[in-house]
Amino acid sequence: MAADALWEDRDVRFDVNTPQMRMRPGEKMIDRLDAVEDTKGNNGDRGRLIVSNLRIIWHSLAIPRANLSIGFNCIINLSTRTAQSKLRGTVEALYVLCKCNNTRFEFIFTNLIPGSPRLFTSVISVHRAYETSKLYRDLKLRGALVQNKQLRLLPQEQVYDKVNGVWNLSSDQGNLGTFYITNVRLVWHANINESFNVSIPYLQMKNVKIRDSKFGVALVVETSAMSGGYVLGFRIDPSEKLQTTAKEIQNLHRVYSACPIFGVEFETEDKPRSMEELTTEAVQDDVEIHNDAQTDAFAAYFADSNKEDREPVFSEELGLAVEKLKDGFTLAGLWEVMA
Amino acid sequence: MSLFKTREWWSTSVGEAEEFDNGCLCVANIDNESSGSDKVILGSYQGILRVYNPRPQKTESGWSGYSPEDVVLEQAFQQPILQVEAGKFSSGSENLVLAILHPRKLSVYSISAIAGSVAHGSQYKCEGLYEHNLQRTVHKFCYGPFGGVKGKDFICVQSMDGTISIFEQESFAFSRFLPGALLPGPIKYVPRLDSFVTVSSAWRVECYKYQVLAVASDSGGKDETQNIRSGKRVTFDWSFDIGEQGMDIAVIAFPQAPASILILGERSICCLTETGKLRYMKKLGYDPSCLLPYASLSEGTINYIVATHTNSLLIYQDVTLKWAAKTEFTPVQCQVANFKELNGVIVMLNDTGRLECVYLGTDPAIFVPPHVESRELNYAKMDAEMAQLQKRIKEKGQKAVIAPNRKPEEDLQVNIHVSPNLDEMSMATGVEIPEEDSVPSIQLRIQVKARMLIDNIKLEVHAPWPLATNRSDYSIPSVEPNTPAELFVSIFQRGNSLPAHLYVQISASYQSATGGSRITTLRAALPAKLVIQPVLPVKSALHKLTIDTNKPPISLNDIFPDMLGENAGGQGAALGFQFFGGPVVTVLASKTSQRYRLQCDRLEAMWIPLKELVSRLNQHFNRGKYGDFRASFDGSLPLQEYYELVDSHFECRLGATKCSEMLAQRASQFRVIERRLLTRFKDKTPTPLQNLDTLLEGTFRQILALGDAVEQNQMAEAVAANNLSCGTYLLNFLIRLWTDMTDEEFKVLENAVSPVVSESAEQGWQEMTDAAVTHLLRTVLAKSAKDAAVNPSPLSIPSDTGKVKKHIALLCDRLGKGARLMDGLAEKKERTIKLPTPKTISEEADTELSEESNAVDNVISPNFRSEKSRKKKRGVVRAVEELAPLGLPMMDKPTADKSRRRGLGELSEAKNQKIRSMVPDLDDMSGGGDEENHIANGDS
Repeated sequence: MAADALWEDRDVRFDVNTPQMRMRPGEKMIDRLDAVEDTKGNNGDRGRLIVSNLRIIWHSLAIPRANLSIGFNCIINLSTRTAQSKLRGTVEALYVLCKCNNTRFEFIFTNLIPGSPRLFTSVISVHRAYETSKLYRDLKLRGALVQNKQLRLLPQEQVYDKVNGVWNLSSDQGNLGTFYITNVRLVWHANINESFNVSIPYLQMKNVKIRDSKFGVALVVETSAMSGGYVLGFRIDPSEKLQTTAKEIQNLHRVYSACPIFGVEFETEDKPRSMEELTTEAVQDDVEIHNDAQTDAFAAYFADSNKEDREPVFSEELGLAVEKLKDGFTLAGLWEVMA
Repeated sequence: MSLFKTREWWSTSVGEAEEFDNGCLCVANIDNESSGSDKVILGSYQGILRVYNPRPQKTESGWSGYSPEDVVLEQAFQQPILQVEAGKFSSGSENLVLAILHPRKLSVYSISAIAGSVAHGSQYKCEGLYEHNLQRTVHKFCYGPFGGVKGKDFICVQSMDGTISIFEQESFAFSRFLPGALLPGPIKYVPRLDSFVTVSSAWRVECYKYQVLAVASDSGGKDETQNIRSGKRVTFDWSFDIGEQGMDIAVIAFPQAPASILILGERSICCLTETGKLRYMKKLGYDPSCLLPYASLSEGTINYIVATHTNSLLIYQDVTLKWAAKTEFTPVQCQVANFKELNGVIVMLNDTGRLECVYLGTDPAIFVPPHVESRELNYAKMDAEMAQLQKRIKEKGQKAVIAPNRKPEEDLQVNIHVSPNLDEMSMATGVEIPEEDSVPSIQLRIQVKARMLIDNIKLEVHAPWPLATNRSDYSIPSVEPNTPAELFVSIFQRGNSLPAHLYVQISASYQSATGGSRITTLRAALPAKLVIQPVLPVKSALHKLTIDTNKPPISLNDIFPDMLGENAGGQGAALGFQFFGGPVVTVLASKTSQRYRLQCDRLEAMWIPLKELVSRLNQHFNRGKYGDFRASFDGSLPLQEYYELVDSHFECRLGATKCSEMLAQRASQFRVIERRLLTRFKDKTPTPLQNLDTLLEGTFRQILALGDAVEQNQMAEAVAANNLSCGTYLLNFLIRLWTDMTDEEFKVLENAVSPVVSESAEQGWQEMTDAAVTHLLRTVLAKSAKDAAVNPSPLSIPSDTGKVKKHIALLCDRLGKGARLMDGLAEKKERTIKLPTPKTISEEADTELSEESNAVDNVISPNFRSEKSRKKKRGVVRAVEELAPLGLPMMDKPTADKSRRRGLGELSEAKNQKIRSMVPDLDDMSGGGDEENHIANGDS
């Protein structure tokens, strides 16, 4: 299923194998730069940077095994600053600050073609497009989805069906509302309170089933773990209507999984070469050794010491929440040492 | 900077490309939950209201962070949201409700929760209570129990023009103008005083009593309207100058703290008492972005947070810094919130919508990324590279210098191409030469190439006076690597003077990729035809210079193909060149001996033609390569004439000093007279002026005249400086030919007797040259220990030029005797010194002239000789006049204008004849040997 397999935009991975380097269904290559240096981890190595609608991939041209895959969802901050490159000296470089599983990474990329701003423009604009299209991919509760009894449609979205008389079973008495079934997601909102709603992209659906509940037979949508692992129950009467609606959602979920719409819209000035060209260029190893042993390649990119943060506590001394001090330390003592 | 960082507890990126600023963030228990846990309320400029209830869970790998159910509410409005505040704005209850400020509307909403059976089942309702449409575009609002009302909050909206409008919940109260409002500043309500404090455009904190505002009504309290056009002038209760713009105001009402007002300026924080007295002030060494007082932890102090544009959070207790932490971004606003799980959380929002709830880390961040070892290393390749490098080091190690000799390649390259031809249409403007209608110009093509994208290049073309350019400054916005920029500039002679040399200097300044500023300079040589034009040769001249060579003579036509003009088709034995507005220089080539002669009425004018002649001969015989052609000079050095140039320049300098002294004297006199006149005019009892007015007028005229004189003298000095420069070039060149110097020696000579005559009030050419020559005479040219002991004269304007002249003569003498200007060179054999005595010049010149004209006479007509000998000095002129029957027009000074106007065809034959007649046969002189040359050159 698409939902569980999708890691490309939500993970930072190092030295991935060839299948993971390939574009997944629905993922599109937006730009490719053939002379980019990974200034932080592989300084002095010429590599290729690929910007897709989900992630940034960099791999060394000399050793294809040395590579990075950075999902756009992990990126906290993009900036341009000067860096020291072995290949080009002091240059303007792209700084990418990421956070993935509570670990912060920093990446620095340098375009080896002097004076070309393409690296910065491509990555920054695609990241912006990614950031502004979250509703395609993220579960949303109580959002501003409905206005004047009308669903606010996303640019690539089409409404396939609208089902009235859908009870949301999340509260004891239930809430009567409306389903919107589109090519991207399933939306429910309460008829009396527009701000009580939920938007579930197919991407986040783990499964859609008809199940028995304490309210009787209901449509149950389970969402993926990364979106919170919610179980949402809906009751539609009569049961034929429930069946057809469930069928429709299941079918659309299947269609979507085969060909997801991620919603990252972009325009490229000069069309990059086709996908085939890219994938065939990757060196096909005869034997793919799946090495489960963790490499320490990521260590070079740490933006912060990867130590466990201690628990926050309220400090009477400062009147603010602080990280719990080690035994025998006081804030004033610590500050005086530092200052 | 602090070693501590903020630690993230919960965070999210709010909105899709939305903007936020101070006022957009509010922290309150807005749904009036029984636990009292705060919610985070955000309004964006794109009009979307969001309420979050951060509830991160502690997991094995840190905090779970944002989850979809943390969203309490999201609602889109049609208008931008400028400010959100929670307060008791509802008339029905004392619950907290939300006030939202749009540019033209103030709305109040209540937010209530209906719990569900699961977290995602809870729903929140946002119900409008009341709203006010506003007449003016608003800036901010503040709220409080105005007039001491209990359990209620009223709202004061401040509009962009500084007007404030008071709303007592559902009803509008009144609008007032604040005096002198230009732009709205921060505004807050002080409950204890029942007053408003604001920072006005006058950079002053002002406090207005609510009662004063309320009663300052035109209409006596009846039918108050928002749409006021005039009003009574209200006066402030107190004011305090802070001298800078106020960014924010905070009113301190913590129980333990003294009642105070904190004002955040752009560079300072002021703490005032409620009566407007300064409690303390903190000057900031950074740019603050927001201020938040959050508590008073010990009696009598205030704790506050300042966030900075340098990405840090600073926590102060009064003026003492208690803690500092680095942040990930620059917040536009921060708040302190108490959540169910954690109290004292700092909530920060930046302008792009990054919302973070953080706590302060207490582990110093002394993290350095570890070195990575896991990459597979290619040992074979590394070994090979190592071996290669070792080999190269070994090779280089033999030689003494291992230091890199490769010059760093310049990012910017400037190429200059001087057009081979003069411009068809002269670009010259503002020409100051009275004799010339037009002067030619020449185009330079300047090509600017860059190795990488370079922005903002400043290019300057400097042409030394009298040369000028049609444009001297260029600024190029940017040059890309593959598309060089091209500029065209035309050079021409503008001033009426002899040019000292024919170089223009071009400099380009830019910023390199590393950020350093760099300058590229280069010189472009201009062709001589830019400043001289071909004219018919002149037979007689006061000064003559003869250059010997070691090659058979060639026709001048061959070496000056581009500068024949009139003389084209002649035999190539004589060519005339005239400077624009200057003298004619005649170049003669001997037919049989290996000599060339230049003659002119002014010595210094021969410099450029001489240099041109020698370099062209060099090029002709040596074909650009090193050949055995050598030019030499055997005559005596024209020192006497050179001294005249030195003297005339010196006179100009003296004149300048004298003029300025007189000007200063007259100016002070003028001021004294003015003063006296003024006292007389001021006197209450009028007294006669006693002709002081006439004196004033007279002095004024004198000053004007002196001003003119200074200007004239400056001009004369510039011309004299150029002449001296030409003369010095010439003298140095002749010394070089005379003593056959090496390039290094010549450099020393040029540095000592410098052809650069700069205009400076402090140090002039005479004393500088004297000092330099004296130095040479004391060191390399010293003959005895006595010479070495000579003390150099001070570098101030001398009383006369005797010393410098003496020293130059001595220098020439020593050089002539074979002394070398550099140590370690073999002494050359002594040469006969031919230094002329001034007395002999005039007499010998005549004899010499007759000698020479004899030769000419032989060519022209035999019977001319007798007449010639009588006329002596005017001989050549007469000779031309005598030729009139042959069809030549009568002229004694050919000019370009005249010659241009004549048709070439019919005159060519006659002209050839005439040119021929001008050529003296230098061979005649060769028999005379040294003595005759001495005479010949003595007068030149």
